[in-house]
Formats: sequence, structure tokens, C-alpha cells
Amino acid sequence: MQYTLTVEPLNRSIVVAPEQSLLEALQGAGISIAADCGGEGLCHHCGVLLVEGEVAPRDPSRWVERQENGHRWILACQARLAGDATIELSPQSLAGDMAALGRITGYRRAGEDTTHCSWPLARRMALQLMPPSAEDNVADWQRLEKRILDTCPDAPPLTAGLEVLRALPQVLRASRCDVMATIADRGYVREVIGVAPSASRPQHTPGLAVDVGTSTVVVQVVDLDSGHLMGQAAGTNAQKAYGADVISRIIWAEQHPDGPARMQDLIIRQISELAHRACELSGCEPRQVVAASLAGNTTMATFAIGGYPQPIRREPHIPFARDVPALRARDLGMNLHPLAPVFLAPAVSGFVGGDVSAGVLATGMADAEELGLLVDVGTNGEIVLGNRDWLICCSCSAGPAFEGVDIAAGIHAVPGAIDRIEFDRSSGVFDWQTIGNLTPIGLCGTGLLEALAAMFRGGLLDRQGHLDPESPLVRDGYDEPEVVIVPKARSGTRDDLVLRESEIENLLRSKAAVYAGIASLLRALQLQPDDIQRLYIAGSFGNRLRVEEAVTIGLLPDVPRERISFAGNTSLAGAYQALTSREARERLAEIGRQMTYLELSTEPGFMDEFMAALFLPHTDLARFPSQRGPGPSSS
Amino acid sequence: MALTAIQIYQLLEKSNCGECGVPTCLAFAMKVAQKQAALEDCPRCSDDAKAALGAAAAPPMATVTIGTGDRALALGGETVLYRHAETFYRPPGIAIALSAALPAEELGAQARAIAALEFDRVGQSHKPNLIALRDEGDAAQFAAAAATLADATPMPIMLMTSDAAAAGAAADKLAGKKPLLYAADDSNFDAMLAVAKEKLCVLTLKADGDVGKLVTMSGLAQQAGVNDLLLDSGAANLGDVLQHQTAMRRACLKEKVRPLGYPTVFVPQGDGEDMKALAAIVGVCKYAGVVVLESATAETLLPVITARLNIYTDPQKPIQIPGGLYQVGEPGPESPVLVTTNFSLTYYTVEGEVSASKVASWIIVVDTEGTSVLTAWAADKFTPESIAETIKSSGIEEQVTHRKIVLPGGVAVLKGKLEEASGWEALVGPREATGIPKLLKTAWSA
Repeated sequence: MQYTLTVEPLNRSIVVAPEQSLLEALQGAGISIAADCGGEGLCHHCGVLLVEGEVAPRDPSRWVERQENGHRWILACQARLAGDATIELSPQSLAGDMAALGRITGYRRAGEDTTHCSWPLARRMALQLMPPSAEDNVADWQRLEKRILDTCPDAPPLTAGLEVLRALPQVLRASRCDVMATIADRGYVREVIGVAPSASRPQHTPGLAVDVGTSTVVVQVVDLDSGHLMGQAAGTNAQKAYGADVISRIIWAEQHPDGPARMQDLIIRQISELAHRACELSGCEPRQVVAASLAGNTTMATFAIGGYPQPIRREPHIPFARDVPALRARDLGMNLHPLAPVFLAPAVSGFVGGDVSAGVLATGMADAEELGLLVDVGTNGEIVLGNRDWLICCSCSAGPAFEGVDIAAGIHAVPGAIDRIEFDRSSGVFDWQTIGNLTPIGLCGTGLLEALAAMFRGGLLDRQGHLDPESPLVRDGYDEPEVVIVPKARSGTRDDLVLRESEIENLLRSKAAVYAGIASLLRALQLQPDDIQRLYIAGSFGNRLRVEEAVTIGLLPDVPRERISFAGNTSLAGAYQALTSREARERLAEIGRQMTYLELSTEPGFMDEFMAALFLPHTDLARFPSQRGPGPSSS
Repeated sequence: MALTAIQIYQLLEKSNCGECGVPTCLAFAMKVAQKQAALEDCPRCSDDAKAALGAAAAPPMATVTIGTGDRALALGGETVLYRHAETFYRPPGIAIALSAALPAEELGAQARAIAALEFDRVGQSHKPNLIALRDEGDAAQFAAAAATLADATPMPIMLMTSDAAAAGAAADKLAGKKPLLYAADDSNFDAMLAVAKEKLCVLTLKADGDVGKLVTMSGLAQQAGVNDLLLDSGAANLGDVLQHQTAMRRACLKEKVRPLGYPTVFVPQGDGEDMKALAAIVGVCKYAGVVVLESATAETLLPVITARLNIYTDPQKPIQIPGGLYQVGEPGPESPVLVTTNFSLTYYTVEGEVSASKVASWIIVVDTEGTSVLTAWAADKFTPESIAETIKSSGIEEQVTHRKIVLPGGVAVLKGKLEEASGWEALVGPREATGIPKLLKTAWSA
């Protein structure tokens, strides 16, 4: 017996066996929703609305449900179908916050208003060749080569491999010389990676843009003919089981003989699976994907090629390559067109990788006259300062606190996560908003940052990050004071949502590391915060982050707010540009060459900057002139 | 004012050719700005660029050398107002005053004793730097004493007299040794200037409490071709000393008042040796180039040396402590043993919490090149092997009867390997040092 499950808002129907959980059914159908605990009923991230039909619990002891918007809210991992049903996914529960992905824009050089690109990483060309004759007895490959070179004379030399040479004579004759050639751009050469009769030409020429994040992997399928996005999929990095941060994973890989191979297998398999899902949404086959452009930090890039990662964490932190010659999908084990070129964005150092160079490309700061600052806040904070003349970058270990890790009430940006908080000093109550307007189940990174700002402004938190013991919201927790953000009665977890003082300290350290990184870059070049003309925020904070709050706690320097903008997932945006434009790839290589890396661990003064930034907003209030407010004094 | 890295970068070719050994032109410019590289190291640098940089790079404060040979003392050349902005480069010279009226034998003996003084602090040697010979009003005696000192000590000599003739005669006895004259003032300015010029001495210019007057005097000395100068504002009290020293340093670095771009001399006034030694510390803290002490007894000299050591420690280098075994309180064979890294901040945070717990303990410090626990772990410097190695070499195994060590909670992951490598049982401690007292009081048992 099988039931039909209709999934909104995707308007898809899938077939579900009665013993399957909804989560398994969704995953089986390639619909990815957040499930951080692996379907154990613990994280409550896979909640869906049951619009119609009946479900039954798999394990009654883990069953959780409540009313939302007039429907039953249930955990997909704990429910099985008792008949045909319709569920609704909130937009955010489709893993990967779409809003945070940023706009898709093609690469354009400063001053040029066109985003037209002649050379995506691979392209298909329909070619009508003159059939050979007694007079025109040029060999098949030379015939094809000449036709291609005639069409685009500005290009590097052309080559072809065994598969193509072997297939060419038959294809030419079967198609009466009306063929479609797939040509990959490998930088120094171009390679014909496929040749087929024109009649078999598929509707699109799919390519992949991939952000290989330490926490999350995002794959976009892009039509290389038009540059349009066809579909995308995201998932939690499968390597997470071997550590949340890159250092833990590197150590694991070092200590196991098959470690590098294992890490490669995990990440390549995951990219392939996400590509499969995104292709399904796009109506194409993974084998049709003719190019892939990856941007990831140096560790992720090393794992993607199955490389030995130890040099990354050992001084002097050397990456295996800066620019990587385009690899082949087949060699990497990716289930795409076997000869599809795989491009990796260049790494600058062991801790500033292709995700950052791609980010610099995507923001356009490397082509601008004005001085820009790119701040990518993740477990590893990366900061780039510069303009079209010069670029300098650094990496600081911010820790995962702003990703909601190591904080009891911290969660990813999922429905029910608090992402906005106000504290009313006179009434002494918190007021919050959650993603999807659901009952709060935790605080996401933005929410945690907002909480700090609100408590500091409201006098609940002093400059050193100590809670006001007099406040009725503050109580003695286990070993230390804690503040109740959401009381049990109003929380979706059946427990108070609290922040402990040590967690607040942890958040202060994260923000201090980022600020100290920014300050160290400025200091190394004897610049002032006010010299920053544009400040781009990329990474885990979505568009919901309020600039004012980020400055209030001293995460960002006190620059005029109109100079600060959110750039979304710049790593993915850069990977997309590199996928679709040869100019972008060349510029990216230049950026990788041009970028100066400042090693903070040996940088004089970084530690002092860090210590000084452990206050709200900073020890030196002169650096935050706009924070004139009284704030509570620290003494 | 020296050029910033970006200004220097603009003078370069910007080709990122890497021929200088640095990957990018910006990185090279930063090195030049920090004086870790010279513009000449760039094989593609134009002559125009060199000229532009040279003009801007003239130091705001001159470097002046007193004495010759191994114990010559270089002063000045400072570039910042605040130590944390970079570092202070040249520690002040400590001069010990001796009277010219002492019998020659005793004078020689004391000078030899002072020259032999040496103190060892965190692996560095610290010494007094000059002998200040005080004229007691008898020019012949002064010259004879100078001759005695020339034989008795290799240390630079400071000739303290306002009598230019006496200064000249004494300087003759110290020919080729580049002594310091103290000092030229209103009463003897031209004559002292002539002595300094003729006998190749470093000359102190002394005003009567008016910094403005020093500007005039210094200008005149420069015109006369005497450029090895030290300055003394003649401040009447300690408050003025502080004010004058700060004003002079600020004027030279910030306002580029070149006549004030010389190191300073501070001769403490006041009642008794002790007060003078305390006053000397004020000078050390506030930019003095030479401070004069009345005696070289431990109780006066050591505090001044300690102050100097602290002020002139380079804050740009992570402060580390030597690896090995440390004690908090008086630990015994059953006392707890903790392990941490040799970054000072890390060690003293741990040490502070252990102290606060009032549980006498042993702390094993692994040399991680001055990095904190997690940084050292990430960079492969705080490993089961390095910890096990330090346990063995520290001698702790002879001190305690148990084999249990508290591992920082942040690196709990090392527990298994550490136990294998060391044969000790690893007890996972708190992630934060604040949790140490609780652990030591409740969870620890040998």
C-alpha cells in the first residue's frame, strides 16, 4: 500500500510508503529540508504544517505537535502517513536560506554596463560543417577545429581527447556534418569534450556553481547559454560528522590512513547528490552538466581533490595551490559529464581560500576606486580590505557562536528562530520576532547578536558582558547567572530560552575576533575606520541583521551606516560569475595573485586589539562616537 | 613623518613580481613602512621613488651614541609617543654618580665594581650604562679623576661640570672615548659648545625650566656644527619633569620640531638617594634618555632596572614564559598537576585561577611558542607528544606520587592519545580557566 503526499509550496506529489517517515520520503524525493539531528526528533528543525490528511507518530515518546496558522505543526522525522495528505513547507525550512543567497549577477568590469560574457566555463556550439569531398579532403578533427577557430578566432588553442576523436567520424556522418560541439575552457587551452548531432541538442547547457562551505554546501544549476538560474539545492556539509570546524576535520584526516580519501568521498558525493536534486528541479540530467565552478575555503578545496591537509594548519599554513588548473569531473569522481571542467576559485593562504577570492570578485571591490571592506562572518571570519589598486586580507578564528553552535539556545536560521529582539527598559520585557512568525524555539546568529545589543542598550548587560544581578530576568543558573529571553510558557521547546553569562562571553569573543581583525588590517596600513567607503557583510548573517545592532555591540567599526551593505553569499555569487565568464575567471586569478595575506597570529598588536574589543562596544569609546548613549557603566 | 605603507606602495611598480622575496608589492611596502625592509631591496624601484622615500624617512628624533666600543650607548631614534603604538627602541642609560673628590684608588675600585654589575632577568642581561663623574669645584682633581676612570672602566663617562675649562681638561683625558658633557647652560654656552666640538663630545643642553629656550640653544648648537646633543629642560620639580618630557617628545614626533628631536637627560633632585631613585623611575617611564642615580646599591638600582625592562619590552612580540614546571603555593606529592601553554596571558590566567582556589598546585607549561591553548592545538604545537615530552622533561614525575594531569577542556580530544603517550591519566578540565577553582576544590583527588 502506498499513499500520495502533496508538498506545498513546491506543488509536487510524491509516493510514500506507510512505514516511511515524512522526512525520509521528502529526502528520497530530493526535497531537502533542515534536519540537523539526523531525524532523531531532537532538533525540531524539520517541522512542517499538515494542511490536509492524517498522520501517525512513529515513536510516541518523541512526538511533538502544536497549532500554527490554523494547522497542525508536526515534525517530519517523527510522522508517517495514515492516508493521502498535503503538507506545507515554510520557505526557510527548504535548507539554505534563499534570502541569504544574494542576487545573481553576472560579472561586469567597473565602468562597463554589460554583463555579456563570451566564454562560460563550457559552452555548446551548433556547427554546420562542409561535408568532406574529393576536393575538400581535410581530416575530420581538423575540419571541426578549423570551423570552431573560424567562429571564435580570439581564443586559445584547441585540443580534444580520445573519446571525442574516437566518436567524431561517426557523428559527422550520422548528422551530415550538422553537429553540436561542447567546448570546455581550461585556461591555456580549450578542449572539445563532446560532439553530437545537432538534432540531439538539449534545451539548456547546464553548469554548476557551488559554494563548498564548512557548514553548508549550496549548489546552483545555471543555464550556461543564458546565465539563468535553473535550480538550486543546499545541505549541511556531510563532513560535519568529523568535526564542526576545519581544524578538527584536518586532524581527523591526518590521523586516519584513508582520511583524505574519505573526506573527498564525502564532499564529492554530497556535491553530486545536491547537483542531482538541483537538476531534478531544473528538469535536466546531471550527466548533461558540462562545467562546475567551486568556491570553498582552502581546507574544503583540499578535501575536494582528496589532498593531504596537514600543511594548512601547520605554520606557515601553505595551500596546495593558488590557481588550480581546471580539473575533470570524472577524475574527481563527480557524477557529471565525465570531461566537464571543474574550476576552483584560487586560494590566498591556508586560511583565506577561494570562497574569499570569489567574494572579492562578487562584490566588485577589486575593481572599485573606493576603499572597500568585506567581512565574512563564519566559524572562521575572513576580512578583506582594498580597492582596485591593492587588496589585503586576514583570517580570524571567530568561533561558531554566531552560527548558534555552543550556545544552548542557539539554532540555525530555521523557522521559529528568533532573529529580532527589543528590550523595553521600563517594562523590563523582551519583544521578539521569529522566522516564519512561529513560536520561538531558539536564537539564530542574528538573534544572538540582536540580544546582545538589546540587553546592552537596555542596561541588562554591562560593558564587560556581565548580567545585571538586580534584574528580575536574571537568575542563578547552573554555576553562573543567566538571563531568561523567552519564558517556558511562551517558548516552543517547553523550556525557558536562556543565555548564560559564559555564552555571552563566548559571543563577545567572537565579535572581538572579527573587530580585532578589521582593526589590525586598518592599522597595518595606517588607515582609519572612516577611510572605509563601503563595508560588505557576507556570510552567516542574513539580510535581517540590523547594521545598527552590529555597530552597537562593536562587531563592525562605527562608520556611517549608509556605507554598510549586505552582500549575501558572496562565495556562491563569485562561483557563479566564474562559471559564466572567462573574464571573471581571469580577474579571479589576478585577485588571488594580488591579495596580500596578513598573518594575525604573528601580527603585532592583534592580541591587544582583541583584548580591547572584549567590551561592549569597545574599551576605547572614542572609536564608537555614535554610541554616545549612556549605556550602563561598567564600574 | 614617515610614509605610510600605502604611500610607499604608490611609489612602487605594483607588478607583484615577487623578486624582492615578498609575494606582493603591498606586503613589501608594509615591510618598508615598518623598517623591516629597505626600498633598495626592490630591484625595480626607480630613483625618483628612492628620493621621495628618503626625504620622508628622515627620523624625527636623532640617534646619539655616547662612548665607544662594546659598552657604547645609543640613545634616541624613537618613533612613537605611546609604547603600545609600536615599541620603544632604546632603553635609557642608567648613570651612577661618583664624586671626583674620592681618592683615586677608591674611585677606580668603585668604577670597576660598577662596570662588573650585571643582573639576569628572563634570560636577558641588564647593566648600568654610564659613570657620571661629579666635579667638586677643583678642575685639576676633576681631570685626574677622569684619567682614573679612563683606565678603570670601559663604560661611557658623563662629565658633570658647569666649568668649561674643567670639562675641556677632563675630556682630554677621555680622548677618543666620546664622553657626555653635562651641561651647557646660559652661563657657559659658547665655551661648552667649543669644548664639545673640539674634543668630539656629546653635549647636554640645559635650560632653566623653559623648554622654549632649549629650542633656541639646540638651533645654535646645530649651526655651530654640534649635532650629538642631549637635552635637559632643567625642570624644577617632578611634575615639571613629567610635563616637559611629554611636551618635548610630542613636539618632536607630532609637530616635527627638529631642535627638540634629541634624547633627554634627567638628573633627579630631591632629598636622599631613595627619593632620587624613585624620581629616576618617573624619568624611565617618561622618555628619559639618561637617568642619574646616586649609588649602585641593590635597593636603588634594581627597581630602576625593572622599570626600564618593563617599559622597553617590545609589546609586538607575544610575551612568553619558559616551558617547564611551575609551582603555585607550596605543592606536595599529592597536589594537583595542570598543563597549559607558555603564552603569558594563558599561563597567568590559569595561574591566577589556581591561586584563587588556594589549592597548592603544579603547572606544567608546554613551550608552544607563545600561543594560546586552542591556537597551539590548531597549529600542531600542543600535541599529546609535546605534552608527554614536557611531562618527562619537567621532572614532575619525581615530585608527585600520583599520575594524573588536568587537561584544558578546549582540547579534551587529546585525552586518549595523551594517556597513551605519557602513561598519565588525563582529567578533562573546564573549557574556561574560571572553572579551575571549582575543579580543584571538588573534583580533584590524587
